[in-house]
Amino acid sequence: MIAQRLLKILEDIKGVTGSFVVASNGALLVHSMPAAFASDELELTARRIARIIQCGGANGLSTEDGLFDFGDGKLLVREFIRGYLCVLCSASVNMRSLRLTARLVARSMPAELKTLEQSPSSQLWGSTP
Amino acid sequence: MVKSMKPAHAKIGGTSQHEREGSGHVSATRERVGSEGTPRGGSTADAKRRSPRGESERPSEEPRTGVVRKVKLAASRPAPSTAAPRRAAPKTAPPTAHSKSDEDTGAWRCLEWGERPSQRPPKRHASVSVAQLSTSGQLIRQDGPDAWLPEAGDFVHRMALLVAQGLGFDRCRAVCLRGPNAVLSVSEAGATKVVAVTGPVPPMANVLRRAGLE
Repeated sequence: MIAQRLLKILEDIKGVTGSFVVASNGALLVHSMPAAFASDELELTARRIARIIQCGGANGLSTEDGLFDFGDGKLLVREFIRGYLCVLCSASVNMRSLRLTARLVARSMPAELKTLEQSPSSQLWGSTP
Repeated sequence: MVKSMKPAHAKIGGTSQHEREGSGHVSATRERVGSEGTPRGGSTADAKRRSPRGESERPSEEPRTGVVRKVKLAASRPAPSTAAPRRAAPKTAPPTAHSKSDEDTGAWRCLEWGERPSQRPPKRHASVSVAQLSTSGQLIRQDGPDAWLPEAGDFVHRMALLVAQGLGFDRCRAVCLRGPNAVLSVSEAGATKVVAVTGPVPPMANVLRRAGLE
């Protein structure tokens, strides 16, 4: 899948653990996370991320970028037309290059995801072994 | 004996009354100066006019009303010798209008007046809202125009904790959401407090820089 290949580009950056794409309504569209992350847990996480961003939107904040700081790790959220690109990375990641790459990947993503959604037989899910 | 004592007593009394009046005048002057704030409220020249011994005692304070050349030097490049005794202006503090105009024109001006904004603590931007919450969600302190901030901050904090746990972490230290015009930041402050801040992008530049979102 091209969407997963796009997500793999992010893993070229040192410190990136994995990434996933969340629709605006909270559905998990595609992911490239290590196998240790269970799919149902990721689904829940995707919904929660969408709720947080919706909370900002309800108060007049249309989120373009977001960052969750977990201490040992970070989650960068980049908004694009189809939803949100989320990148999980370590605390020592170069944020500048990560943001730049995430922006490029997010820009390339919309057409790809639309194609995937249009074909009902296609599998939106995926996980790296 | 008594006669000699009386005038002496009266003299002492008169003197003490005069002293009392005098001390009252001095204390009133001090109160006035204190209320205005001697270092900020009046210039050095005013202070000298008020104190009768000012000119003879404090000639060293004369250069405090200096020339703009010194200000230019301090503003353009931070020379440690000149800037050391003064309090450096915080990076976040916006440059004052008169300091800019003085730099442009190169006019002479009193340095004390120029120092006034930097001596005060940096004033918070009026459109920035801050809410301090306990980890249980109780509002401790709120300030600013956005009344929704405590509730939203508590919600974001709780959700972010669940997101952290879903991704294998213990806690979420901070969440920063940046929009085109505004920023929302919710961060842990110690073990028991959560601070939520929201406001326009320019005054929140430090928050964005810390999060790596600038």
